[in-house]
Amino acid sequence: MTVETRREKEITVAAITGRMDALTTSDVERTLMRLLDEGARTLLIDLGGLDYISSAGLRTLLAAAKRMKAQAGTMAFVNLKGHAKEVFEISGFYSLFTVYDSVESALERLGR
Amino acid sequence: MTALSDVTARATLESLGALIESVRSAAKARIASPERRLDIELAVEEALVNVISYAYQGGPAGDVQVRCSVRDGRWLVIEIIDSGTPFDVLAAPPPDLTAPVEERRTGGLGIHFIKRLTDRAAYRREGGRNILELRVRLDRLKKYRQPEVVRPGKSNRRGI
Repeated sequence: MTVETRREKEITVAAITGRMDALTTSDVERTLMRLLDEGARTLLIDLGGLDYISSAGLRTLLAAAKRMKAQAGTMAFVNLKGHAKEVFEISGFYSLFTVYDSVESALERLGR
Repeated sequence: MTALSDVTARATLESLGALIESVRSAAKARIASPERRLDIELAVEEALVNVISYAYQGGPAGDVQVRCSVRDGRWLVIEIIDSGTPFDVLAAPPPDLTAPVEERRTGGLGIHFIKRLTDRAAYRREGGRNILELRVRLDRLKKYRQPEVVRPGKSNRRGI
């Protein structure tokens, strides 16, 4: 499991690859919280490389979203597919969050 | 019934990987679709995390057993067995899937996944043990209990 982060102007992009399960999700949580500590106001989470996610992983994403909301920031997702997309759909996360098809369209919309 | 695997370990997070791996191997031998195997893995992780978190609360961790078998040639059966506090995990209230971010909670999602990603889930208390039996049809490629999508003014044509 890895989290690669980069800045696209005012937008922080975090690409999560591998697994977010009960054993590995705390690493992702640390990274996301660090990004929020560092003042990220718009966070785009790229799940294109995410192979597997369980409710433990969803809990981490929700915790980040709650904090982002509390500090009046924006958090969105991009590149959901296969298993991760199915988990988002079943859990209601798909309608809870803004989900973009591509990083390009997300950056364009979020950058406005 | 054909036994595929039977692993017992201490109900702690450290055991989770090995327990899930036993199910992963059993599923791999019988189910071709990698997508379905991930669904099974997810249901099993949720069930195991539940046992690890709650079955032996307030005392030392006991054991959890994971048993995989094929029944009647058409079911992959996964039994998750603990000897902790009597608890029917399937009777837990369903999660609220519509609350806004501020009020959303993830409690109950695991059980929701178990119900949605297996073809059958049943709980029984037997000989002082909790037994959660998950069944997956071997002869179905995908999907499980899809919610019926009915749009107002249109008939639902999905022939499932």
